[in-house]
Formats: sequence, structure tokens, C-alpha cells
Amino acid sequence: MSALLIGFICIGGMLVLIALRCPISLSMAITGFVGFTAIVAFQPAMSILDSGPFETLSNYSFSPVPMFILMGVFASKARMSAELFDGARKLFGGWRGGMALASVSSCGIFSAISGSSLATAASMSRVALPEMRNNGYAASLASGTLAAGGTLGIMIPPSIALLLYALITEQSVGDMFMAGIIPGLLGLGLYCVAIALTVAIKPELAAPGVSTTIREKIIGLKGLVPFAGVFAFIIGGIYKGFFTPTEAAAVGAACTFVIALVRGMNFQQFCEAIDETLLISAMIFFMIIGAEIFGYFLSVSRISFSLVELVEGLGLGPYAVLFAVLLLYILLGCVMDSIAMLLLTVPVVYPLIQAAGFDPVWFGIVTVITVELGLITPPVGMNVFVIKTVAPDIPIVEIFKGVVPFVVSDIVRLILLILFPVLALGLI
Amino acid sequence: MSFLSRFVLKLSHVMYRISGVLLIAVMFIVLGDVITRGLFTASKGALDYTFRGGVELVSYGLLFLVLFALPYVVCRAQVYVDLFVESFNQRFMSILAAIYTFGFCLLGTAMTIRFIEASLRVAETGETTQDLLIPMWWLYAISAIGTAVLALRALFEAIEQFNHKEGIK
Repeated sequence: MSALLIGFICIGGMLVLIALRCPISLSMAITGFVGFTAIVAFQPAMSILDSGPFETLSNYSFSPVPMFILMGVFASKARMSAELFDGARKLFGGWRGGMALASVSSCGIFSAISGSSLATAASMSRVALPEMRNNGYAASLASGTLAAGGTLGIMIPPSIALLLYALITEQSVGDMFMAGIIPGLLGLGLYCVAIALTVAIKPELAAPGVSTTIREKIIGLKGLVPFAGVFAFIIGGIYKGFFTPTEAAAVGAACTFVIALVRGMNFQQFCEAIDETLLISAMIFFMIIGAEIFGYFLSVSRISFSLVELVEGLGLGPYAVLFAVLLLYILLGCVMDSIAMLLLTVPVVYPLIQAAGFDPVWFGIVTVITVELGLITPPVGMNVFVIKTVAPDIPIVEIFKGVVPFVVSDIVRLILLILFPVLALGLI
Repeated sequence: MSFLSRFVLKLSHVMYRISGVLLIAVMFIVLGDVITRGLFTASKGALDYTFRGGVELVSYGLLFLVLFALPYVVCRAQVYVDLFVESFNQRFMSILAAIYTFGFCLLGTAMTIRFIEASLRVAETGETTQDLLIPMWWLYAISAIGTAVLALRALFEAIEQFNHKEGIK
């Protein structure tokens, strides 16, 4: 049996395992180990179980993963999200839908110091969701806004997804972060447009807020100061060469740690922050170990190269290849977690994209936006479930209804990025 | 069995706490590295508090913080796809969950065997890390402890799931 055939059989087996609710990390590890054994031999397959995980877990480049999570969790414990939302709410004052705009803006700003969409959605929804509902917002708009707003965390740097993409494809982490800024801000802007249009079409979804004076608006801006400070420190530090993107994560975590201490984080909250960080990190590293073992198998099966040859043989143009890949991501995004999807698929599709002549950094941004869609589309939509946890009384269908305008705006953003790659590459 | 199970749970919890300490330690080591390097550059070399081995401390700190965190959260820290499972009955789901958790036991066991073998191999050659000259066999041996506890914890979790005490979450 050829290595390629074994490769396809093993991947088919992996999809069956995943569908049977086998943890994604274990599915990748089993497939990698069994496939490698079938193609090479048992003893070499055993060897990858020490060299693979040992080298990956002691790889300095992966150290930002827990640090970016820690940074977001400390920010959450420091109650920075409440102050941020309050400031943004005052800024939008009496506008109809102003609180939804404040929520999505707060999510965007919170994303600037949090590398995780789930952390962003969880932190902001605890603060903003009750406020919006108490002020007469429809449950669908309120919950949909926060579920979608949380996805900004995956694009606006620092982002764990961009970091992992950079590590998998051996791109510069700094370049990936810089490339994420404009698409992230564009996403924020388009979400605001989506809210404005939704409220204009259906005014009953959102009541006008309380008007605020210019003085109140200016005072409210102080909630932004810690975020702007940490973000400017991180991105400025990377840009000016004071520290590497890898070190920036720890520096950022230390900054939010100090802010949390100043704001009275107690020992219990500190321990909760550590526990939360370790749990999310363990989740990601379980998948990284699985992906590492799976990666060895991919190399020996030469599936990626065969796919490239197959696509070349079909005579498909570069954009046909791109759309096929993006369609695959949209479909997978409906059933799979975003980080899992990146770790599982990027090693397979990346050679295809390289062969099609696309810029790897630009493709990373496009991929992450597409993956981001999966966070708010049924049936998996992780951010939707986060909102459901915060507000169990809102039916899940209502939340999915609420995210529709944001899904449309994400698709518009994707089209803009495909038409104008400079939006991603302009800052590099 | 239940005494052993409780002991492994306690042990994994202690390791989880150590992992938390390592998390904070890694943060401060990187911070120290950045600050001392900044001072060195700003003072044009007059203030040299830079230290060797920062990268190694962070790298191996990360290794142990991950390997020590995994056993305690072996079932909770997993990502699943809930696509077709609603039609399965609870008992079948529990058996599936037990099989998968046992898969982590096998993975942990295989990794432990390989880490012990690697530890013995590098102990013979006397291999050390580049900057801090830490014997590599220590690093493999400590890693083996993490994966061994992962294997044991997964084994007891799998038994519990099979007995349907916990069910599937």
C-alpha cells in the first residue's frame, strides 16, 4: 500500500474519531502515531513520542501562549472590562444602539490586551450583557453583539491564533501581529456599521441610551487609559525593538498583573487567574502535542505535496484554490474549534497556498478571519456558547439570530481583504 | 483502588500548583531578561546585570509547566466536536469517553517509556544544556514524572467514566 493511500485512510479514520467525539488532540495523536507506524515502522514512531513533544514544549517560541492568556485573565480580574464598557457607553451617550456600539468597541479594545476570543467574549459579556438587557435591548441584539465582538480577540494583536499560524508556517510573529491591526480595526468598524444598520432597520431592538455631556464623555475615556497604555507598550516595544514579540507576551502579562494588583486583586483572585490560564493553556498544548505527532505523519505520507500536484493537475487558478480552501475552513468552522482547526489544517493547505503564489502573511490573516467566522456560526460557535453560559435564559437560537449581521460584515471584510491585500500587508 | 485514585488526584493537584508557580516564574524571568538588557543598552554597557540562560530557563520552565498541568485537567482540557452525539445514549457516551481517556493513559505511558529511555541515553553521554549546563537526563527524568502521572490520572479517570460515576461532560 502506498504512503499516500495510507495517509488518506488515516485521515478518514481521524475524521470518524472526531465525529465520534474523540478529543481533537487524541485524534491527531492516534492518527499521527498509527499512520507513521504504517508508513515507516513502530520503533521510529515510538521515537517521535519523546523527541516531538519534548522539543515542542521546550520551544521558546511557544512561551507566549500561556503569557497572552495570563495577560487577558489578569485584565479580567482587574475589572478593567467594567470601566472600559462604562467609558464607551458614556462616549456613545444617547444614541439608539449606543450600548451595543459601546460593547463592540469595548470588545475591540479589550482584544488589544487579550489573545483569546473566548476570554474577550466572557469578560465583556459579564459586564455588558446585563446592562444592555436592563436597558431594553432585545436579547438577540445584545447577545449577538457580544458573541461577535469577542471574535475581534482572535485578530487584533496580540492574538494566539496569529502566533500559532506564524509558528506553524515559520513566519515572523511581529509581521503577523502588524498585519492583524488594520483587518482587526476594519472588523471593529464594520461591526459598528452592522449595529447601526440593524438598529436603523429595526429600531425596536434597541432603546436610546441616557444622553451624556462632553465632560462626562471625556471623563469616561479614562477607562481606556490602561488598555491604551499596555497595548502601546507591547506593540511599541516590538516595533522599536525593545523586546521580541515572544518577550512581549510576558511583558504584557506583567503589566496587567501590576494593574490588577493596584486595583486590589486578592490572593484568591490571583489563584483563580492562574488556574484559568493553566486550563486554557493545557487545552491548547494538548492539541499542540497531538498536532506535532500528526505533523510527522503528514511529512512521511506526503499528502500535502500530493494535494499540490493534484491541484496543479486540475489546472485550477490561484483564486479557485483559495476559495476552495476558504470554503473548507467555513465548513470546518461550523463543527470545530478555531485553534484546533488551525493546528490541524494549516500544515496541509499551506503548501497549496504557497504553490498558488499567495503571500503567507496575508493568507494567515484571511485564514484567521475565516476561522473566526466559525466562532459564531452554528452548530459549534464557541463564543455563542460562552454567551449562553453567562445568560442561560437566552435561547441559543436568539443568539445565533443576533450574530447574522456580524457574519455578513465578516464576509464583507473577507472580500475586502481578498480584493485589497494591502489592508493586511500595508503595515509590514 | 480508591486510595490510589485519591493519591494520584492529590499528586496531580500538587503538580498543577507547581505549574502555576512556574507560570509566574517564566513571566518574571522574561521580564528580568528584558529589563536587564534594556539597562545594559541604555547605559551603553555600564550597568550589566544581564544573565545567561534566560532562554533556557523559560524553555524548560514552559516544558514543565505544561507537563505538570496536563494530568490534573486531562478530561477538562479537551476540545470535542459535538456533531452526531446527541443521538447516542448516555451509557454508550460514557464508554466512549472512558476509551478516549484510556487513550491518554496509553499516550502518557508511551511518552514516559520514551522519556526514561532518553534520560538513560543522555546520562551515558553526559549531555548538558548549552548555557546553564543542566544535565539533560534531569530534564527527561522530570518530564517522565509528568507523563507518568498523566498516564495514572487518565487511567483512574477512565475507570471512573466506565463505571458511569462521572458520565460524560
